[in-house]
Order: sequence, then C-alpha cells, then structure tokens
Amino acid sequence: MTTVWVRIYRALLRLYPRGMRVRDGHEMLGLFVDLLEEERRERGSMAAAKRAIGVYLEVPRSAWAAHVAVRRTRQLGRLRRGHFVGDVGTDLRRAAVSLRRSPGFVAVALLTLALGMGATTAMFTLIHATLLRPLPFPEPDNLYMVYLTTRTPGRETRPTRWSYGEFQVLRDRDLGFQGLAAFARAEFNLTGEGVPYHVRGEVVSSGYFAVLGVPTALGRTFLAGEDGASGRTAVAVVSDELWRSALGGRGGLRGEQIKVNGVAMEVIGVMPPGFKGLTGRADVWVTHAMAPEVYYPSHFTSHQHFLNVAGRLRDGQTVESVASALNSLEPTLAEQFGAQHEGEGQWGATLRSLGSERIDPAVRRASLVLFGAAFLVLMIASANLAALLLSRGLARQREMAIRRALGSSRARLVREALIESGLLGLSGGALGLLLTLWLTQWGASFLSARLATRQLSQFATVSVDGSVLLFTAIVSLGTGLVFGLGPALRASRADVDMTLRGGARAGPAMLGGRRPGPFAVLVVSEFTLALILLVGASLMLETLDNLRARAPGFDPEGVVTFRIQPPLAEYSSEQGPALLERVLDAVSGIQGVTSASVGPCAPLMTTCAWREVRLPLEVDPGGAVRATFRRHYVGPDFLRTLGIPLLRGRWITRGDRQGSPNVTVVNRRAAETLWPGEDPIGKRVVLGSGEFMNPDSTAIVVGMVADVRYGTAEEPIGLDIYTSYRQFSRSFTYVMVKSDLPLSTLVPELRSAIRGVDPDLPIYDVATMGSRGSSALARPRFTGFLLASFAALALVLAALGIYGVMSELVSRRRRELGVRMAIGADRRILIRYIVGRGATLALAGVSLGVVGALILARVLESQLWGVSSTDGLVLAGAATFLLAVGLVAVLVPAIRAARVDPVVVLRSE
Amino acid sequence: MGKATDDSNVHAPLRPVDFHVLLSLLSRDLHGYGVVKEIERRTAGAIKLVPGNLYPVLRRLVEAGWLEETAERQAEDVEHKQRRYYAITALGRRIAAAEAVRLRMLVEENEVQALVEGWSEG
Repeated sequence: MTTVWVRIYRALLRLYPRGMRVRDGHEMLGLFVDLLEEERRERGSMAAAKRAIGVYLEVPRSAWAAHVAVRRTRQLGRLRRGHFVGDVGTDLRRAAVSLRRSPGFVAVALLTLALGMGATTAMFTLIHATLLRPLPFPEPDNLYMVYLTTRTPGRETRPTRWSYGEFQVLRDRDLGFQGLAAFARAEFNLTGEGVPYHVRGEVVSSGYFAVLGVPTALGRTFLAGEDGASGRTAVAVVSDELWRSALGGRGGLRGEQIKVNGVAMEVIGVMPPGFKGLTGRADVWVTHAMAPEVYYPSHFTSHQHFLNVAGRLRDGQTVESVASALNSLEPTLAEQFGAQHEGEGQWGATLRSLGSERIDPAVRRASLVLFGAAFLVLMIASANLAALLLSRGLARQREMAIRRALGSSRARLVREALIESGLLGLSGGALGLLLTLWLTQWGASFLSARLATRQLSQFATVSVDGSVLLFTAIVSLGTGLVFGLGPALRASRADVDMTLRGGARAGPAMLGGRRPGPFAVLVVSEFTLALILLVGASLMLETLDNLRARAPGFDPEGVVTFRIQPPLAEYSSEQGPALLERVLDAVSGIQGVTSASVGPCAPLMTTCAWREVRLPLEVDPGGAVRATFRRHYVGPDFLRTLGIPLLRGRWITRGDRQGSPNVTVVNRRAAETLWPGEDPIGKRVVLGSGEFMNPDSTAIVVGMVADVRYGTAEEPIGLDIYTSYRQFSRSFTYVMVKSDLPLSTLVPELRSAIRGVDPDLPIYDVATMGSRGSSALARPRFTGFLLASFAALALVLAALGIYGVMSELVSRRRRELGVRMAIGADRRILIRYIVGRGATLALAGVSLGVVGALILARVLESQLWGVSSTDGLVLAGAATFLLAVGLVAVLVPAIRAARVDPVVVLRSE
Repeated sequence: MGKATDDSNVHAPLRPVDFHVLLSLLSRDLHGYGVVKEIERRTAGAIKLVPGNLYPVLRRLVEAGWLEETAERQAEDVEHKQRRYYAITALGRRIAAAEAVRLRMLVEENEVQALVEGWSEG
C-alpha cells in the first residue's frame, strides 16, 4: 500500500521547478516515506493515508511558491548582470516606438498585409458560414436526412424523397430513430383583413420541431393527434417574423386566426426568432393532416416523391446500425409500392448527415476556390512583408552590430524583431477585418441568391463571429512571425566587425549572384503566385463571358413574370383552368400588354418540376425508353410572349381544351432524344409515371420548338414537354407578360387586374426576365468578380514587390554604379543591366507560375464553362501581361540608377 | 552586503519557520525528517512541516549561510546514511540568539507580562 502513496508523491514532485527537483527531490521523497512510516507505525494505515493526502494537498501551494521564487531569482540575476529587464511588455513598447519612427515602412507593410488579410478573412468568413459552422440545433451530429433509394436496372442507385404512404412504412418501424419527421415546402396565400399576400411554409409531421430540438417561443407545437390522415385540426405554427409583422406580435397567444390558402386556422405556437425550418424560408407550418385542404389534394394518396424526411438518432445508435435496419424495409416497400413504380427495382433507404446535406456542392467548390485564391494573395502580401522586413533589417545592420558589440545576445535581437513583425501582422489583421466587414455584404447577397434553389437551407448567414476573430488573430500573428523570422535571423547575423568598420554592403549577395538570394526568392515566388491567380481569374471571366453569350433561346425584352397560386380550397381542378383563363384575359386587357401566358416556370430559374415521360407500351413494351422532362403547363400565347421559335408542326391553340384530344409540343433536344432521326410529329408519349399511367395522360406530339434555357446558367439544355393548361392543369403558376410598359406602371396595373378576378389572390415574385437572367449568372459572376479582384490585388502587390526589391538593389549598389559610370559605362547599358536583372526574376516567376497554373487549374475545372482549364491562349495572355507589368515596375528604379551622378557618389565615400 | 550579514539584528524579526529550524538544530545535526520531528516536538504538534515547504526553507537558510549541509552523521542513524544532514553555522547561532533575545525583551515588557499572567490564570 505504502508504495502506491509513494509513487503518487513521486509523480507529484514533477510539479516543482526542475532545479529543486534535481537537488532536493530525493530528500523530499525520503522524508515523505519516513513521515508515512511513522504515522502508520504509531496510528495505523488510515492515519498514514490521511497524512499522505495532507501532504499531496499541500503540493500545489508550495510548488507554485517555488516557481515564483525561481522566477524572482532569475529576474534579480538579470538585473545584476546589467541587462535590460526583458519582459514582453517592455519589448512591445519598444517595438511600437521603433515602428513609429518609420511611418513610411509601417504604412506600406500594413497596407500590404491588410489587403492580404482582408481577402483571406473575408473568404474564411464565407467558408465558415457555408461549410464549417455547425447546424443551429442541439446535438446536430445526431440529425440525419433519410432518403428512399430505388434502383432502376442498369442505372445506379438514386436517393429520392418519399410519398406519404412510403413515409408511413418508415415511421411505423423501430429503426433506431428517436424521432422521424416528414416535411415539404409549401406556398401559402394569407388572406383575411387587408391585402392578401404570399408566404412560404412547410407541411410537417407533428414531431418535426421535437426532432430538431427547437422549442416554441410562445404556445405549443403540434400534437400527435393533429397529424396524419385522420387528425384534421385547423391549427398552425408561425415564425417570429410573421408573428410580429402580420399578427401584431405583442403579448401572448389569444387564439389568433390566420387564413391559409382560404382555410381558417388557429395559431397555436410561435417559433423563436431566426427559425425558418429546414427549408430556411418557412413562416407558416401546418400538419400533414391539413395538407390536402390547403396545398395538395393528393397529399396522402399521391405516389409522387415529394416529402423530405429528417430523423434524430437515438443515443447509442450509429449510422451503420440504422442503415442496416433501413435495409429491412425493402420487402415491405417493394410489396406495397412496387406496382406504382414499375421497373424501379431494389428498394431501400439511406441516411445522410444533415450537416453535410445542407451544403450545396457547387457552393462548396466555389467557396474553397475563393478561399484558396485569397490565401495566395495573402502569400504574396506576406512575401512583400518579408522583403520589406529584410531591407529594414539591412538598413539597421549598424544598429544591430553596435548592440551586439555592447553585449546584447543574438536571441534577444531576434526576439525584438519578431515582436515587431508580429505586431505588424496583428495590426494588418485588424485592418483586414475592417475590410472583411465590408466585403461580407457581398457574400451575404450571393448566398441569399443561391439559397432559393435548394431544397434544404444552408443556414449560412455570413457574419463575423468569434471563430472568424480567432482565425484572423491566429493567421495574422502567424504571418507576422513566420515571415518575420527569416529577416530577423539574417539581420541579427550581421558581422559585427565588418559592419562597424563600414565594409559590409550586403546588396549584391541579397539578390543572388550564383545562388539565388532571399530577395530573388521572394520576387520569384510572388510572380509565380500572381500568375496562378491571373490565370484563374482569366478562366473565370472567360467562363462568365461564355455563359453570358449562351443563347437563351427566348427573347427577354419587355417580359415581366410573376406568380399566383389559386387556393385549392376554393378552386377545384376543374375550376382552375377557368380561373387562369380569366387571369390571362384580364392581364391581356391592360393597355400596352402585347401578350400573356401562364407556365409553371420561367426561363433561367430552377423551380421547374421534373416529370418522367415514357413511350406508350405498345410502341415500347418493356418501358425501356423513359426520360425526365420539365413539364410545362402553358397557354396559347406562350411562344409569342417569350419569343420562342416554332420549328415544326403547330403550337398549342385555344382549341386544345378538355374534351379534345391531348396534344403536346416538345423541344428539339427532346425530339432528338426520344425519336432520333425521325419526325416527332404524330408520335405519342405517356406523361408522368405511376398513377399517371392511364390512357388519359397519353398525348400526341403536334409540334417542335427551339431549345430554351430554363435552368441555371451552366446547366445543359434539358428535355422540355409543353401541354395546354386547359388539358393538364396545375394550381400554382407563373404568369408571363410581354409589354412595352415600364415596370412601375405595369405592376400596379397587374395587381388591380388580378384583384378584379379574385380579391383574395396575391401576386408575388415579380421580376423582369432581364433580372432573372442576371440572377441566373449570380454565382459565376460572384466567383469571377472576386477572382478578378484577387488577381488584380496580386498583380499590384507583385509589381510593388519587384519595384521595391529593384529599388533596394539600385540604392545599395549606387557606389558600384557610380564607379562604373565614372570609368565610362553607358547609361543605356546600365538600364539594360538593371532591367535585365528584374526581367530574369519576373521570367523565372512566370515560368514557375505556368507550371503551377497547369497543376492548380484542375481545382477550377468544376467552375468553368466552355473553356479548358489549360487553355493555351489564356496562359500565354496572363504570362505576357504579368511580364509587362513586371517590366514597367522595374523600369523606374532602372532609370533612377542611370541618373546616378558618379561624382556625388564617389565623394560621399 | 557582506557587512549586513554580520549584523545579526538586521534580520529581525525572523520568520517563525526559520527560527524553528534554527532552534531544532542547536543541539545536534539532523536530516530533514529529524528537523520535522524536532519542530513537531517543540511546538507540541502545532507546526507540522511537509517536504514541500521544508526543503525550500533549508535551501534558503543554507544559501544565507545560516546552515550548512554536512556529511557527519549521528550514530543511531546508520540506516539513513544516504540522507543529507544539516548543521547550524556560527552565523546561524548568532541570528537565532538575536531573535531569542528580541523575543525575550518583547515578553518581558510589563504589559506583556500582565497579559501572559492574565491569560494563564483565566
């Protein structure tokens, strides 16, 4: 037993200062053993244990006292030896004073660093918001998205969403989830008092909020009994924002009513500020029970996969255990739903972490590319800083030598220099942070433009928070220290004797004779990095140009689009087309409107619904030919309104209505895909899959139109299929209006026209086609703009770098130049000599940069469109441009060198 | 500096622990354990030193020249031959004596006498 006590004490001895341990450790241990043995002998083991613990407890106090004593002795010793008191505070003060004495140097260094740090911090803020920040829910690591997987023979497994029936199978099994919730986006019209308006919402399971772990701020969330096919209770939960703006937002809930898509509902709960659901944009939540009435009549019966499912794992469950439990669903799913989804074998389900699912891969790539680019800018800025510190060190060589001669240690001089550069780094970082605060505005608008296109919210509010501050502090201090170390070591290495005798002129060696000197290395690496950035930016701008130049396939001139959503509670599927007809008549009646049509999605946006289309079974018995099409439910004036050319056959007319044979028009790409080399006119297609596989959904192709870009700027042309809204209807729709009226007069006219048709019908999402076009280009424009800015920064910094270094060289070699001129050297030869030295460095940097760009270009590949990442023209252009800039920067010091007056120089010696 | 150490009163008042260590070594040289035991005995267990606070004191007193480390051992301590022994120096004795004198003068003041008597009676 005793040995254990002793062993513990031996370990505790490590807390004492080393000196004391070495000198007295053995004695202390011996004393401890004696004391313990005595105690045990005289009072028993318990007393011994008590004694031992008493000694242990005393250890921290006496160890601390011993450390303090050691420190004090050391300081006293230092004072006695006649050194300066060496604490960091004094050094900091001294560094600040020394920096204040050279304001020009500080200004240039800080500006350089601020640019580099500003770019880096801003981009870190961006990736922090988009990629790194954890989800704003408790224990976010347990949250998963659950997807249904189907595998069509010959194709890879595809994760899709769920139908309500399929979700029930999932929900009713114990698979290791603490809770599972299905949710779907929804669009609601809020009516009642005042002007009707549109809000976004979600249709959710009653356990939705519990799964996420978000409690209400007021009232309650849904009860289990209010959910499901039988639980119809007209209740809704609203967001804090809606509560404040539309419902007064004061005091508690008093049974407030809202009318959601025509159905009166009681508000039972208000969510905390900022919570907008997993879609990130919801203001109203209703249960599945209410969905058929307010949003989608076939909510419970449809076999369409429109429900997202999120789940929280129970404690102790792993992804693997739940994933294997999910596999057990296959037979049940196949048996119950296989018939509706013919040909889609191998059912299953899969999990993906919510944290990674919310990240848009395109945004991830763009963010990382931009962060990398900003980091390159920081490296160039840091190289400049190093060059500045290096020449400052050279200028202070005499001072260093004197201090060395007076007995300062080299370590001390290095430490002082490092404190100086660290201080510079931190100050540069602070300035950069200011720049970031301004730059993040850009990031914020970019992200909000992207958010709308995703099923899941990214929870990406771009803001400067604690992590960003920490990042800035670490990187800026690190930059100052790392890039200050080399110059500091070199400056302190000064040969005391040589320097004091005035013999050392470090000029030539620093730029490199046979071996590249440090200045040369810095300039070359700056040019290398600058070229990489320049190439990246050129490629991105080329991409932007290509995207802009892509023919949209329609004429956006004078076209305004807006959205309406006739509530299903008031308009059945038979009344829907009649309503749209009245809307179109009212809009077309406005003075100045040339034509108008409806359509589920306007070009250049990503909200189009995709549907599977196949050939009739008698033509294609195996159902082998099937493809995903954008379904367009349009009006007769669609082509005229958007200026889309008809290529073959005829377009949809007013005569194509319910009762007459179903007709459809396809785009050229669709015709080439379904009937390669054949005339599409007269062919038959089956629209939709599953429940839509009835004879009624068969349509005859009557025409073919040109390809139109409906998706994002980069998306390839897709397959489009158009049908008349009078034959196949859909409740919510865009209305496209072509007119020569300005937006400010047209929009009020449109509002009053719609109010004339139905006073409870709000119009929303009003935008010209021109602005839709530019938001479709938002991402490439954002990336391109930032990359171009970084490249411009890099260019300026690299030019400043080579200018500074060549100036330094010229001023250090004034004597040599003076002598050369005195013995008759031609000025032009001198200029050529200096320019030659500069050009050699620039050329070396550019050559390395070309290699680097070729390697790094692969990273950029995913961001490019219509240009190869190794485009020779782009590479050559960037290299030439950078060389030219470098030459101009070198020319100034070269001319100054040639103006050296030999008499003045030689006399000053 | 050298002068000051010779003037024994310059250190008064001594820290209690220093004074006790000096007193414990008056009659014989001791190792650490001995010092602890002796002090415990003198103070009737009121002061119990532990290794962590004994050795820094010993070291300080050695550096001040009041104690010295010694190789001599007492006969009964053969089994502790590895241990370091401490002996009081002449300077240490003078300082301990000066402190004792100071304390005696303090307690012999009339008012203090009265206080002591009053306390022991009550």
